[in-house]
Amino acid sequence: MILMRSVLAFCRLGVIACLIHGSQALAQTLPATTAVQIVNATSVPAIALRINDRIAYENFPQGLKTADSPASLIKAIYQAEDTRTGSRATSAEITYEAGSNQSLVILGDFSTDVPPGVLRHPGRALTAEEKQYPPNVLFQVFSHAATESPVRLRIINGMPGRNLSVVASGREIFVKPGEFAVLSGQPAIARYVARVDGEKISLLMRQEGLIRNAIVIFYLKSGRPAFMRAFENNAESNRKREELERERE
Amino acid sequence: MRRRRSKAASLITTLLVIVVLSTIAVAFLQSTSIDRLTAKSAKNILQAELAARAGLNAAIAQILTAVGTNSAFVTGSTNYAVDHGPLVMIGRTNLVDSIQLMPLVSAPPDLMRKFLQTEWTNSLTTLFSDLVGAKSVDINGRSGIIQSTTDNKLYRALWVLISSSSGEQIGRFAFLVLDENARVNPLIHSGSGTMASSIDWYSGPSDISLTNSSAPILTRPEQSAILAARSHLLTPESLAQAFEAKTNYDRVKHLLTVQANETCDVIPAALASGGRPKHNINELATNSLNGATAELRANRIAGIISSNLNSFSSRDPSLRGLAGEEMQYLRRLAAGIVDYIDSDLAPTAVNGGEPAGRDLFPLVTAVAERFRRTSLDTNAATTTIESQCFVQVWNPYTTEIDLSNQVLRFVVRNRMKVNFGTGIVTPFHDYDGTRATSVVIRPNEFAVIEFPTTYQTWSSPGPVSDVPRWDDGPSGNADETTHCPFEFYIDGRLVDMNRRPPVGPDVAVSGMVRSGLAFTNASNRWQCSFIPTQHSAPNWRFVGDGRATYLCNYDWQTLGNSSYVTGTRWKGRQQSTAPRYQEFTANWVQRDYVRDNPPMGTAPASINQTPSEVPAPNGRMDAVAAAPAVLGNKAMRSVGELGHIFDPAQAADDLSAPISSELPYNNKISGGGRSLRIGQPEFRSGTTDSWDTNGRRAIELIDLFTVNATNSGSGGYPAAAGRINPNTATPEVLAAVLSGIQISSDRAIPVSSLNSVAAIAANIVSNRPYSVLSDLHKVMNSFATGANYTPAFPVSIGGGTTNLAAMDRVREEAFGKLVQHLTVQSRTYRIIAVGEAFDPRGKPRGRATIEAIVFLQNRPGGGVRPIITFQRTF
Repeated sequence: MILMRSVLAFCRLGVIACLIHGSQALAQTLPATTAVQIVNATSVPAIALRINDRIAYENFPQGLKTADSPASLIKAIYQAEDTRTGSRATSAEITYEAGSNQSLVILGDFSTDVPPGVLRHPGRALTAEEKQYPPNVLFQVFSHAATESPVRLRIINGMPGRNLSVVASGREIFVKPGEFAVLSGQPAIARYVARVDGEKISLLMRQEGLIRNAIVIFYLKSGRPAFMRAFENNAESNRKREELERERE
Repeated sequence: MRRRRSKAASLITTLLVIVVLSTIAVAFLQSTSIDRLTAKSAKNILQAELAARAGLNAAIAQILTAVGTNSAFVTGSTNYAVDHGPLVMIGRTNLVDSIQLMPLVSAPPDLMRKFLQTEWTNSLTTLFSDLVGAKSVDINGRSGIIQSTTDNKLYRALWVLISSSSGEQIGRFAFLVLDENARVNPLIHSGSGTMASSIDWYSGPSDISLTNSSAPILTRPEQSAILAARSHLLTPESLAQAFEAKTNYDRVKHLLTVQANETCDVIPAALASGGRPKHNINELATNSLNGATAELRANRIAGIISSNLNSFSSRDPSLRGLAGEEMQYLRRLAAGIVDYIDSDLAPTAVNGGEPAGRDLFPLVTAVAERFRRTSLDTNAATTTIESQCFVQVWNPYTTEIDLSNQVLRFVVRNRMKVNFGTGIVTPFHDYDGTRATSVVIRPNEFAVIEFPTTYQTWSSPGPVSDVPRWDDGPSGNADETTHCPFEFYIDGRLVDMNRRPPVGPDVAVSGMVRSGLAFTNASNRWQCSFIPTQHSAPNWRFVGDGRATYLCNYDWQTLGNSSYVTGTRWKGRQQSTAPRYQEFTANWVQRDYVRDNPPMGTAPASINQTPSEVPAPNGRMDAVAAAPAVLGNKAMRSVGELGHIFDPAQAADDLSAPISSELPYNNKISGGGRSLRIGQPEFRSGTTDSWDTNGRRAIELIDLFTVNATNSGSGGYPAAAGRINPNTATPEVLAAVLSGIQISSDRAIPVSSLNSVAAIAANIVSNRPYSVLSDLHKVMNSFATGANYTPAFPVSIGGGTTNLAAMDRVREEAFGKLVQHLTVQSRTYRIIAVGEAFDPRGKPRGRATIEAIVFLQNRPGGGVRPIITFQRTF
């Protein structure tokens, strides 16, 4: 009887061990995922976006962004095409960290008078004598790493040839084209004033309920300054969201 | 002997002849003396009559001097001495500034010449002093021509000497002018009308009865006799025929008139349009001559208010300070006036498109938006979500709203952006549902209108392992800074909406809050939003008045699935818990008191039962009667009906501009819960925001607007007969007018009447003068005291003040029924002039009295011309 029990116990342990091993094996076979929010802040009306040479977004209007469900796309090469001209710009290979959240912000106007890696700075006019470069598009990745005190506001100047400054807490911060500034410890609801070449733009940030870090990207729409907001999801915000949704259910 | 006889006969004959001749001579002499005396007496009488006539002419001249060319004169009275009857006065522009006050009593020319000069004030003092001295005469006299002598009232007037061209004093006159508009006319104040209607607060002078038991002037037989003798009653004294005894007539003759006493509606002199005709508010609201569209007519009304009542627009503290912004308030108010009167159901839009007019349509109080995931294909990476709106509307008015054969449309904009897989984040399309309806919404009833279901599909570039979801608003909405605003249309007309541009002047936008949710299964997901009833910060709250939703920038808070069954109520009021607090009796207490709550709605049985499927609650029988607001959709019968107009002022309970430190909106614009106060004390505040100050009181609108029409003889001025002047009427007359008023607007409380009309009349008398009709604000407390009614109005105590626990319309009904019978400008005067002739030694040798009625007719270009309608000499 004791022997029988011992055999049974051994078998049980064996089964459990097998299950554990099996699940580990299963976990090892699942592809790693990462969450990428793609933000189209280019200064052309719409792009077509290919990812790893496959068309992902045939018509991706400027000012929009994608959802960021986790996807098994750890390494990616993006190619943006100006749908009006067919002009294409390709990113370097981007490697994302598995299990992370980030935004891929696409900037630029597909002009060819600016060296790669930067947007045209103010005062640089297009001339026939300018050297021709590949279409000017920047693919910038910003991690959604959690911060201790949201809201962290990242302000990106995606406007080729335009100066941007933002007044926050009585301080004016200047942001060059293609660059960004970070405002930390901002309230969930706040109003800022941005200036683009002297033009004042009121910028209101208003979050209620789920409070997250955010990105504000300025770009040119029909030649005029415009901006869009993108909010940064991460593990912490996803957990809070689920909690809120459970409460509301 | 014969000869001696003959001589004797001759002597006798001679003597006889002498006697006869003497007799004849004496008789002749006597006859001459009598004729001389008779001629002398006739001369005295004629001279006395001429003196009295001079007095009459002087009286008329004095009236014309008092009026000048100003059509906006006012008529008052003063009690200058104990035991003396009141003295009628005309104020050229008001009844306060003594330099332009003319007492209608005879006075020496040297004194009269100082009228309108700085010395006039001293002259008046002298005059009043002399009136009680030896230089005056009691016009009433022993005959009691004015009032029964048993009343011991003195009606004294100063003698004015009349001199011949040679300077000889040949007579004198004295006169006194009485106000016929101080009296009642039993021929037209017949009581055949009624002051009991809950809707029509005025039907004519016949509303006034002189036989009410609480303030009788006549007995019923006397009234009947007067009406029976109607065709014979041409003179004031002829009224005596209808009384059984002269003593009965003497008792009341000073209260009666047979004149129609037509008076005109004139804008007070102190206003910019002073002297011009008051504006007929019904004509302004509906006649295309005043503007081709309702908006233009509303703008005209706003312009009239703005140009005359310069401070009125500052009632709205949220707009105070800038003329252009304050005009928005006036246009909103005027739109409400237009819609109260016109017969259509469409709100008048002003200020560039605001649906400001509050017409007879239901107002949105809650919205339930239902969502359900109808498909999810993880491989094809598509999902479809259906959505549907249920709109709860409320009829706050005392009349039914018939939506038969009307097309309703409900729109929700700026909806949530849906995250699905890695697809481009796109929002729900605007919900735009339309349906025909034939619902009739009873007073104070809540109804749920079900709108159609719509579907929308999202896709992602590749297979998905996630479910569709949206994030918390507003950052999860299409516009990441505002919540979802709604619009409600009836037959293509926007009737209700959340605040949004063009409602200004600030950028405040409100909408329905949407909280983040994920479609983890295919069950219903509810988002139920409620009209704001902010009560946690009483100083800046909004009270959930649907009439002000378009102005309110508070967001509509939302309950989700977990509270759909436990927390939401449909086809009735919400319960008073967060975030709804829909309890009118508690939240409106500092504004228009709402006597009773509508019944609470019914909770859904499950998340599968829609608000339209929820059974209606068992409503109390008085729910209908407890509707708080009145909307006429008809011409106003009494200018007091302006008190029903919704007041769009954006003010906190203490009438200040609501301020909040909460971004993004610095101005927390609350309001609602108020209609104009005309008939009860104005809303008060201990601060500079108070409306109970000159220029801001709502009652001042009655100085500009009338409901009377012009007639062929009124010279372009609106006119009405039989109105009483509260400045001159006796307490008995005022009490008689008040005694017929019955309060019946609130069917939930018994019909009541004023129980102390004598006290209220005395209060009106003691608060004189009333230079303008709106000066009656001084006596509003009389109408706001519950104990002044039988049965007494219930009383509530809230916020440190005692309120009548009766609906707003009831508290204003008594005054609304009174004011249409009142005027402060009298046009018909009774002149009693006494003349005396002097003998050569300057002694009075004859007296004559003339009684005349003078009607002041408008003269083109300003001023008046006198028309003597009756005259007698005795």
